[in-house]
Amino acid sequence: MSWDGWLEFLQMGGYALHVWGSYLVVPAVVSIEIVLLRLRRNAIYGHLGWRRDELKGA
Amino acid sequence: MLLSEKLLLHGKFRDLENKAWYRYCSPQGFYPLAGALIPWLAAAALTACTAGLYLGFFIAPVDARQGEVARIAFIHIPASLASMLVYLAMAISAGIGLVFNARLAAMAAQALAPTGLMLTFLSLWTGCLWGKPNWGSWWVWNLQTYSESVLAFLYIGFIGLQTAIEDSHWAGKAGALLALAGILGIPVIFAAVPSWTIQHQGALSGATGATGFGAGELASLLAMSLGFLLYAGAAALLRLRCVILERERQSDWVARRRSGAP
Repeated sequence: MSWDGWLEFLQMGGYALHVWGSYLVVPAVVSIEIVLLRLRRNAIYGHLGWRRDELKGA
Repeated sequence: MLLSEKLLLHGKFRDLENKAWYRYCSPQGFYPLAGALIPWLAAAALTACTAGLYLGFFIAPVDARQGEVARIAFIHIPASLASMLVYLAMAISAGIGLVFNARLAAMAAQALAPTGLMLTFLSLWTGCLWGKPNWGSWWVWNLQTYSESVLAFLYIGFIGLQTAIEDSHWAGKAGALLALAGILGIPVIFAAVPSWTIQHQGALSGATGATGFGAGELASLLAMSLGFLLYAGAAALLRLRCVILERERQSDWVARRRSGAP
């Protein structure tokens, strides 16, 4: 543990833009991928006439 | 005649059809198995990434030469590694689909590609952000950036072929040839990281300044790599279930599932 407080942690030794720009883009693209997957799944469910609440664990 | 048919005629693999696991080699059999695996893979991915982040930010020391910016390594290296391993898995799957005419394998390759492209994007993005203080520029052409860019174009080409060719059988064959040709590039990226004369990114130097990974750095890299690969597995299985339903929508088993078991 090398931090003297949250502010110093957030500053990342002056590299906040680089470090947080790298780390925060991961949840961003993962969220996009999950949303796209849900849309794709809902599209095929709709095409098949499946309703989400009819399917257990599907 | 297909190679798989020759093997079946030879008799060696005839009893395989009776084995329980053989059932999971068909889209119909694999669909519920994939559904059961996804929550476990996702939970394991989350656990591994949480551990990796903790190790990377609170256990690994400040890099003696580069400072805090070297913590990007804990996301850049696992993303790069996963982007290549997912490509290998995709190319091998596509190859199995091509040689054995195995539908599930061809579908798996199709399901892996977008997640692989996402990991490649993460590798390039974090590489640019790490490169800025190291190289003085957001982008520098060297063997790694070149080959990771090629990897991105291979993924885009593979996805493009699947989208452009309407007949999924031919799309799978064309994609497999592209993926297998591209596999030759993977060892180049691996070999290039330490041996390239111009240092790719600054090497990690731990707390002491000696080049090499300390225990904290290594543990974080391993946990994050595992987390990324588990996530890729979960996302690919989610997509594979969509691909299976899309391709098999006219089959009896899909019709029967409407009121059926999970």
